[in-house]
Amino acid sequence: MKRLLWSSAALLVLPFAAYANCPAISVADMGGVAPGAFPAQYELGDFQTAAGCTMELSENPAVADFNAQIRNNPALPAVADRLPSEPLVVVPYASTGKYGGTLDALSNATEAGTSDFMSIRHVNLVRYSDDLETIVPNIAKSWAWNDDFTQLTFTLRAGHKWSDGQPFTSADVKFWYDNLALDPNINEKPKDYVTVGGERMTVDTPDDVTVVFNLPAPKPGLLAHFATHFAQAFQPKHFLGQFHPDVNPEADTLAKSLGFENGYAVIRAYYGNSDWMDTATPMLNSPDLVAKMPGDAAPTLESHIVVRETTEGRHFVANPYFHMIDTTGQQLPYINEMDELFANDQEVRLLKLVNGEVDYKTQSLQLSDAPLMLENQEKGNYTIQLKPKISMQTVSFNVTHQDEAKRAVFGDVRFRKAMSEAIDRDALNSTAYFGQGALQQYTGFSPLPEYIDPKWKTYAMEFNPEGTKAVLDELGLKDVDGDGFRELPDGAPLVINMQFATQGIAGQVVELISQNWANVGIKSAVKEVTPDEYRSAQSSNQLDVGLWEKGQPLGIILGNNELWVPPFENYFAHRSGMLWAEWVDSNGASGVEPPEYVKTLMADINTLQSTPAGTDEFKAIANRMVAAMVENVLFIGTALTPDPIYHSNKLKNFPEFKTASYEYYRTYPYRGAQWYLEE
Amino acid sequence: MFKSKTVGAPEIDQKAKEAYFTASQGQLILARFKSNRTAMIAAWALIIMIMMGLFAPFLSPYDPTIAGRDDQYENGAPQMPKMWDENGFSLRPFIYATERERSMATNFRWVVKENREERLYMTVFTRDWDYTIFGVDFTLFGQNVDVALIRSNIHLFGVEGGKIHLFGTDASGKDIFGRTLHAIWTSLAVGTLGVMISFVLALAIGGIAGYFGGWLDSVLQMITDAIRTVPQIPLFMAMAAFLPPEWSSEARFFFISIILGLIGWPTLARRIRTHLLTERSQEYVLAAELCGASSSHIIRRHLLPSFTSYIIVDLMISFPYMVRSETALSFIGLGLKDPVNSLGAMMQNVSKADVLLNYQWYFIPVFFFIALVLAFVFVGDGLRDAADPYSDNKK
Amino acid sequence: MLRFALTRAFLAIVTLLTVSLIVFTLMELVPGTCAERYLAFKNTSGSQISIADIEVEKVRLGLDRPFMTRWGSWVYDVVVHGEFGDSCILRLNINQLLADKFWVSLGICMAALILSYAIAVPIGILSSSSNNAVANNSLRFVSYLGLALPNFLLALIIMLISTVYFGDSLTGLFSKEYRDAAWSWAKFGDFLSRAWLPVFILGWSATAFALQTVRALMLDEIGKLYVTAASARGVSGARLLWRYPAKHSLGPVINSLGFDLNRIFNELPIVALILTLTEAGALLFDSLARSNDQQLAGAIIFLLTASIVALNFVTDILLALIDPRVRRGLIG
Repeated sequence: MKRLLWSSAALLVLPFAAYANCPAISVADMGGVAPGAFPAQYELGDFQTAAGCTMELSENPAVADFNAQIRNNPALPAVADRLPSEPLVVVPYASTGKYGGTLDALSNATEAGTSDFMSIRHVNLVRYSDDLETIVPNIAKSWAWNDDFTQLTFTLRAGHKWSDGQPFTSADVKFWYDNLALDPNINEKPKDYVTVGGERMTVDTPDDVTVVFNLPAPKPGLLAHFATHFAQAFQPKHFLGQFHPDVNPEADTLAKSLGFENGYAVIRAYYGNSDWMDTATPMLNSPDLVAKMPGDAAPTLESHIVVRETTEGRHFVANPYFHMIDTTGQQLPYINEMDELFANDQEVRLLKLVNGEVDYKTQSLQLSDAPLMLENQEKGNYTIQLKPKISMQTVSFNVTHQDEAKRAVFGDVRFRKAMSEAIDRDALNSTAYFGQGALQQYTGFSPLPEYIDPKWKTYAMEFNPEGTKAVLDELGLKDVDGDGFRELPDGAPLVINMQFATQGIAGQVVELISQNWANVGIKSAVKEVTPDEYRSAQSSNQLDVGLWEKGQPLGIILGNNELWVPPFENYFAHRSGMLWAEWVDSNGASGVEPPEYVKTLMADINTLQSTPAGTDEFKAIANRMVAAMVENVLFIGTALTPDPIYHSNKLKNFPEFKTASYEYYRTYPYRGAQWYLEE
Repeated sequence: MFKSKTVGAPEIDQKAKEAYFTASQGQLILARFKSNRTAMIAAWALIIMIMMGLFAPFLSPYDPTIAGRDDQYENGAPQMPKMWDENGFSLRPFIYATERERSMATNFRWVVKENREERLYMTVFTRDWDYTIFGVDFTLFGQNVDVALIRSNIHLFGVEGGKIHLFGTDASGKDIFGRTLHAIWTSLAVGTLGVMISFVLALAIGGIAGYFGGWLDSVLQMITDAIRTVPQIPLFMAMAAFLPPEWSSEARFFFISIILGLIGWPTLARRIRTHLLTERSQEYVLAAELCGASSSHIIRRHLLPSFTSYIIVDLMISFPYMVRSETALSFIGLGLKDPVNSLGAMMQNVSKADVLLNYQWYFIPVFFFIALVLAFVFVGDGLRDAADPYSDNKK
Repeated sequence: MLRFALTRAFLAIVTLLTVSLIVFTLMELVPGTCAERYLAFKNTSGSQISIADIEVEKVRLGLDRPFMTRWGSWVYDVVVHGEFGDSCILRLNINQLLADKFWVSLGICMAALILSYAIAVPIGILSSSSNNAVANNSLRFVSYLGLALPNFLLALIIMLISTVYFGDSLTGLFSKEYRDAAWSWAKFGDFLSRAWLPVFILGWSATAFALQTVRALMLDEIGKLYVTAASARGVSGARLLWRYPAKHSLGPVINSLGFDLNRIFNELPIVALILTLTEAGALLFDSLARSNDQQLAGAIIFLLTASIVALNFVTDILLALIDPRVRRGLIG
């Protein structure tokens, strides 16, 4: 009888024990809770099981105020109705945060220098974790590939809502793809990243939470694309769709009633015909019409939404419908508001940073700014992290130079290798990089995966001016007129024009390299030009040497082959072999035929992109590609340098970044939603 | 026969008076100028600076380009030679040898330590890098042209066993003293060229407009006004960007001065024209015409001398504006840039926050710039005062 | 008088057209169209752009049409509709973008102009007539210092000193609270409290030129016979100066006001850049130096030229009213 009483009492108590609220754990102190399938985050169900608790949701006390600031938002429902039925449980880095504060940020202008700030609030289907190797869920709860990488299925979260309270479903993904990305009225030609090998995909939506991408050809890199790219794979169909003629037959009438020419004009006012999230909202581009429009800005899934915008700056408030919570059930984000100010001059921005007027900045900060920022850390109450960049400053010789004599010389791999060995990289590192650079040759993949032969990192890197002189003599570059500088084999004077723009390479580096080359008898003329002049000269094949940074991580290379196909990068970056590119684009009709190794590289990159990563075949191909690129010294590397990352000491839960680069979309891996401010 | 005679006071007076009344216009102006103390000070300053610029290679101990950099002393503070310290007096001035270190702990700033035991003595007429004065060196159509008036490698001073930097060094270790001197010369050269070009244009256009008057004058006026209204920045941008990239820095600099000249002529042209218009209707011109003088004679012998002084003064006064325009352009990156040595390019470096807070010696070229401009302006004012024929009753 | 006004109006239109054509042509010559520059920004933020993208952007912005067509249609829009079109970099309607900004810039420039003459006129008159060498030289020295100190440097130094020693970087035309707010007396007051700096900087550098002009004119006039005659009649001191030579010197000064405004406006962009003033000067600099935005630059310069032309017109009328010689069209 007693036993029955005790066991029934126990049975009665147990459920109450299970109703204990979830613990406040952090990455630093997991409190014994087993990690989930993905680092630093859980699905709600998984977390409740792992921690043995029941989540009690809570919200920011000021959330009603935010909701009021978002014009035309309906009355605020309870927090449980605002979150999806399975919100993402985020484990903060250091501690559970407190609500409050305004994050002050600095950008150049409305659409310039904004990506470090934008990526704080960015969301996409998936995300790279801060180890920059693991892909984890974000908007999507889970995903699945089919066997041959031609079908990618995402499962979304039930009950997920846009910032205006309307449901977010798979239809929004399909709307983005079919009606925005592929609509010729919005994008005349679909962007590269929405097609696979130039062919379109198709999107199926069997139900509200399932999205299926059907690819015309295998592309394992598509998943990584959704983790690294700024383009969010969804747009509000209920909001923008009402102005889209293919979705709403009354679209144009509706648009005209608001004072616009047609539906597409309204879409342009909100969406900017661009997947970038920093395009001007109607508050800025149609201030006289915005009052009658359904909202000041299009609804978003990001952690913050813009509520005020002028040409001086923007102001954001927390999104009341954001889908993440911390481990105690507090709805994220912690930071109430964000304020973005525009300052277009670098020195002015530096002064503001030094003065502690900004809470976070990394874009456009360079190593040369480091001393000033480091020594003012105490006074400005901020911390600087120096983390390696991905691209490094490189030099290349124009192997398809207009001048035949120069082309013969530059085209000879012995010349290029010798010139690489004439550079005193230690002096370069010490002078221009404060000794902080890691000397390395250009290897295409950056950082270099461990399965690549490390000998390529130091190929043609040793400082050997005597050896260089011997090689130059051998090549017929002798000093015949006794002025101390060598002439071309046919006797014509040789002067290498080194045109550079400070956006791509530091002036000091160019001057030092020029001096090193002068010491082995090669005369050069250094001239600084604007980036546009540099690009234009590069396009018209008038450069003697290319001087710009270069390098991409594996994840990007899987989706984009530009580093391996002439001209070896896109229009705004470091290109070489322009006439080879012409040959490739014209299918042999004009230009200069590239040598065999280039053709092999082109074939190899295509194979690599369709091969699953990590397999032996993959590693073999990668090794082959790096070998071909490095031993032909198409691009001469200097050193991998760090760049500064600035954050105020008031900003907590701010981790150590792994790199200082935009390649993984800057701040996105480091989970801005769980940052909080403490006075 | 040859009796020496002491000249009495009234005779001196008489001689002076005669000298005064028979003096040419140039001599009168010079005399009056000399009596103006401010102008004389400014003139001497100007001459000194021009000389410094002219003999810059001789005066600079080190090559102002990257070839002459001191890689042991980057962003280094100025070093003043001393004659004595706690170790005793020395006839030869000296500086101390320095050691430096840098690390994350010092925020990547070089921390320089003087070694007071080791003295580096200064030397005069040292042999160092090669240079030319009044020389040109360029490659045209595959032929190399390299001529010079003076070719040497002797420099005024140097230091044994080390390098001396009177004005400190910049981020690459280039000596600021040498760079400043060369920069003065570059800026002067650009200014001179610009002024000359604008002068020639102004003379031609303003002269024609003023002399002939009538509808020709109105049309030219309109053109002048239109050009004056065109904002400079887009003009420079287009010109600067339009330059073929193969041109060397020197050629670019040459081109910039031409552009400066092309912009500067309207103001001067207007002045000439106004002056000509008034002078044309004066009686002495009428008298000359009645005497049967030809137009060219009237222009040469009568009109031109009347405003030569005007022109000289205006030329002097346009100089600082030219130099200033070059500076402003270089600052926004449209003019001459590093590694060319011009005052504008050097001031570009000053505008970095880091420099403003830590390396104040980068400002020294600014002082030279200010001094140069002020000197020009005061000399110009002095010339104007001196050239004014009615200024007898003034200071 | 009517003929005078009509001729001036005609000349004004011709000037406006010529200047706009020159500006468009110059910007055309610069490599890198606005499409490229816009995409370049995006590239630095991490997007991979291909040449095809650039072509598409160009078509979108209408940059693929031949130059004369573009200029022609722009002029047509401006003259007939008063519409300046869209800025290609900021993607905003220029009329709205420039609305108050241009007035702000104009206000700052006018204030600087007035300041420069307010200093230059008395000092110029004094300097040309007084015998007190010390006062003369020191006053001139201070005024000329405005010319010698490049204004970008001055702006930087002032900003730096205020940041380091006063903790306030003195940048921006408005403080945070008034940034997004609508115009009101309070906002105007805030604006004044920050606009004094650019006015001071610009005014000081313009003083030198004004001073030299005034001084030169006064020197010319003072030596003339009518002044001696007046002095012989017993007029002396300030009255002598102001009633006789000064009045006649004013003529050319008034004449040149329009071009002085132009010069000051040319210096505004750099100062605005440093002080992060968000007004037309900074936008102009941006559109010229950074983004090659022909529409925006064309619009700002058009407005500026129109202001200068208008100012010239007003000053010419003024001059005609006070100077009978001008009225008869003999001089000036």
